[in-house]
Amino acid sequence: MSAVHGTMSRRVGITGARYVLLVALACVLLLPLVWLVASSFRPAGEIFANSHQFSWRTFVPGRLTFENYLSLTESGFPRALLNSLFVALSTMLLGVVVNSAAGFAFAVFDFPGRKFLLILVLASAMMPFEAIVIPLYQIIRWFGWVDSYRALILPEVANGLVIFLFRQFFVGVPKEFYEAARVDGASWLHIFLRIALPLSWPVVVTGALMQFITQWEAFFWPLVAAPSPDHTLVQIAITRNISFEETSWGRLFSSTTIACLVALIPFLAFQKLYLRNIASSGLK
Amino acid sequence: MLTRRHAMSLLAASAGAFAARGGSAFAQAKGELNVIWQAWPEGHVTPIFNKFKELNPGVTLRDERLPFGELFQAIEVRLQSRGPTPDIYIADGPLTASYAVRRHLQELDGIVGDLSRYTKAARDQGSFRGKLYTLPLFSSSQLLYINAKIFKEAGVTPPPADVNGRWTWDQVLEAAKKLTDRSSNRWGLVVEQAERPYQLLPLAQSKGATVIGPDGLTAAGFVDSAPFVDAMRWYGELYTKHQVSPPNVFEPNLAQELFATGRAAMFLGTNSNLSIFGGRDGLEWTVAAHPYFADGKPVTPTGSWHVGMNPRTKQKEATEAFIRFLAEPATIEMQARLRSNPPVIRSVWDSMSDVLSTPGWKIMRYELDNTAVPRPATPGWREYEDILRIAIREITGGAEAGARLQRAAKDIDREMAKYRS
Amino acid sequence: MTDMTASGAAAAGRKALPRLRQPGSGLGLAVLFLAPALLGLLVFRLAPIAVAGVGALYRESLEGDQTFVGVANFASLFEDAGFWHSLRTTILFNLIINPLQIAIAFAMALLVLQPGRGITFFRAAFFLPMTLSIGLTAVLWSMLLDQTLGPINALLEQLGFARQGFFRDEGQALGTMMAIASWKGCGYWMVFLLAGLFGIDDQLYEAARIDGANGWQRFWHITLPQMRRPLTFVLIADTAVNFLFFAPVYIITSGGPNDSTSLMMFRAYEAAFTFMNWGRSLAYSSVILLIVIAVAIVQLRLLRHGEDES
Repeated sequence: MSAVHGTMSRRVGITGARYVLLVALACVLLLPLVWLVASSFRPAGEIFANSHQFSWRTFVPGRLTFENYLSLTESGFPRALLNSLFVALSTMLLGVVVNSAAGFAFAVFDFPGRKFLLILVLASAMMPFEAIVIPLYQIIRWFGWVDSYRALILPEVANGLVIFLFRQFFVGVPKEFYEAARVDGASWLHIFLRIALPLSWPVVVTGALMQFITQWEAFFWPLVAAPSPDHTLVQIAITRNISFEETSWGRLFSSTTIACLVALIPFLAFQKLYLRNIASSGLK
Repeated sequence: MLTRRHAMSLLAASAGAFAARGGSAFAQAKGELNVIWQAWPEGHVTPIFNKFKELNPGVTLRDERLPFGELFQAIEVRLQSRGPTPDIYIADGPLTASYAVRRHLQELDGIVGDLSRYTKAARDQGSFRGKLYTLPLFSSSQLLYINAKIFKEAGVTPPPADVNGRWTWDQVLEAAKKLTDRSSNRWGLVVEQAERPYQLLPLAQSKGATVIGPDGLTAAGFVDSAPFVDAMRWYGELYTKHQVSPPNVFEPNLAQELFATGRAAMFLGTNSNLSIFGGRDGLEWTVAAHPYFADGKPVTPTGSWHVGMNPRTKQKEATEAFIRFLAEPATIEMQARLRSNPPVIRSVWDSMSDVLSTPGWKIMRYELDNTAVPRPATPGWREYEDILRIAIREITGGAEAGARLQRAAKDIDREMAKYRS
Repeated sequence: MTDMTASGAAAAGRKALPRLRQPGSGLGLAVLFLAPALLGLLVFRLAPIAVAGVGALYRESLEGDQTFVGVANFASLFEDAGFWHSLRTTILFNLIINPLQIAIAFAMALLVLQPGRGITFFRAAFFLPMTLSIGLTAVLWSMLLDQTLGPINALLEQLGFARQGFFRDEGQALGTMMAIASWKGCGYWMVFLLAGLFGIDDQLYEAARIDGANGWQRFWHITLPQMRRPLTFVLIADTAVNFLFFAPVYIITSGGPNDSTSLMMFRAYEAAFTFMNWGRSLAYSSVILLIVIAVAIVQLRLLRHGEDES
């Protein structure tokens, strides 16, 4: 891969410039979060005590406390974290199967009304959620799903943008791959599972990540559909630390920190998968 | 500040009060109740629910505790889908009329019985067109919090912790000018809800303004009346001309931090701050009564949280049992002790004298009996509040008060049109 | 992967492909593959959207009775100067933020594409802001940028600059919204572009290098054309997300100061939950939906130029 770059001396310069940019970007993106994490280790009185002065103290707590983390264990937060993991992972697994199949159909098969249907699929992701929340709630109530995991997971499985993501990838796969298999007598299901999906690892991974993150961030729908303590999701549990009369800043920051780090795990796992599967995919 | 153990021992003591009222009133109720509550800290809510379950073994509670940020919106979706649940939901007092005109509330007069035990302000907040629609749970009042250290350093004598000796707004301004030190980010006066009508309508009312028309739907001629405009202009100048108050701090939770970290000499805020500031080491503070305009009279904010009953409930019997339970003086006392909020039943002030006899609570009891004016009862409170809030926000940013309030009055009246029929 | 080979192969192997020439089989197979997703979308998205679209033609009485009013909700919207202002604000917001985010995301993807020391750290660092929900992003940034309490203004002051209003300054508020949306969003879109870059055949670069193409030429003639489809996806998805952006507006600025952050989505939300006017809110939402679909169709058309299908 290094061959992409020029001669050795130029390469050193380019590498240097690359790292300068990387570090600068990382600072802009990370320092706000470093402040948040540092504040999660501060006692209540210290979070804003020196925030009007900027120094290394902004990012390093003076007095360290773990109270903000320890007190989370007594609250509904651990349960909410597990609920969110369950909901996000289930949605992700179901979603990848369902949406990749649809994306494949849009890319490979020809059928009447395909373009119109694709626009409809895209439109499903473009309506302000606040406009559809009441009818959606009525549908869920009609199904008898109010306050259940089903209400949290099933409406989010099919996702117009994820279908489009898969469609964009499968359109780009040369038709010879499919045709060769067809000539060999393979069924379309076989072609999809054994040829198309393995080829599309980077997309499967990003689509999965997209669905995970969407559910991880979910707030308004879970609040309406299933907010009882048994089904509380993580963003609701975090936001419970903010109330009009008083905000528990320390716990707000500690629970946010944990939620962010947990959501990073699938990303880290996936970006390992990228490398492994790109190396072994048939395209190379 | 109430400790948890303190509260629990008192709960045990008050159990007798519940038992004495006779379990038979709600012992037979059965069913599953869906209850929407605000996500206050668990220790402020769970004991109440547990007490009800203990008294009503036949009823199961499916409680949902929604964070304040989207509480109204989530309740709105549930109510607008017009189903049987929630059976009971928490309601901010001034929203009573809005829910009532839209048929989201069951009248409670027949269920609760004698209402004279409630404070007038709380009863008024829960009533619309002469009927009680939401049951008051606990109330709020305001104090002027004083940073004793900053006053001492500046050589200014602070106001006393007594309603006699209440400062006028001019006295507050004069002191604030001496106490402000912008170079070290120290402010003379921080107002907790710097843009909210809850906090600021009393300024206009102190100057004699009536804040809404007698029909509860008219803003023109009231929101832009001379005393209202005078009061808001004066308030805006704290930020612009005198610069004794920090610009653009509209989040109550951040305003509290300015006082809690010693950067505000005076802080006008609710009773909740007693426990917040009490928990901060090294903060020297006292309290004083809410200021007033010398050419007017003392008026102070108050507001209460209420509960409403869904008229479409299929669990009528169990729901009514829960409403009656929440109307018990013993429940009100329990709630007031858990959250350290002013109780809405007058007799509870006496039964809680062990807690409510500090100077701060004495001031607030006086305010609630004499000077507190709840927000107006109008079906368009959300509209009224939000339009006025943005107007006040812009007045603190330098907008001319007269013209800005005139525009707000026009906007409010336009939105109110849908309630005139 | 060029157009020539693909269409040539398609012509040769047409029998094997269930195209229109083989009626029935393409449709049947398509139904099989599409059914689960379309069923979900139909029940949980498209049906509610239809209800909402029809609802925009009704006015609801206080008691919940619906009266058909035709296009009256839209007509009153179009007569309102506030609507046109929010439309202009929304378009301005999107004209700037979408190209900006995609350019930054593309640059970030190129920066972390090649393996190297600590690259996993940088990839994770760039993605991390995405794990913070939009509501908490608003809470965090409103504190960081606060005029009185915020560390960023403290830094500015120490560096000798004046404290800035950011969200509280009429001239800066919309730009600040774009900045925090990009802070959160760029790393997310980077992931999709990174996946696209991983998919480009190295042999193409090898061949170009042998032909003596420099870095810029390789980017222009290989990377960009090969990235057309991932870019199309990111452009359309990013546009949809940004047209629906509103939580920080609701939490921090309420559309101000002086209507400078008056995005349509915020007005739709406000109409429903503050002004209790669902008819108006649904009319706003319908207009947003129609605009985003129109933009998406145009984007698809523009970027399809030269694509091998159709």
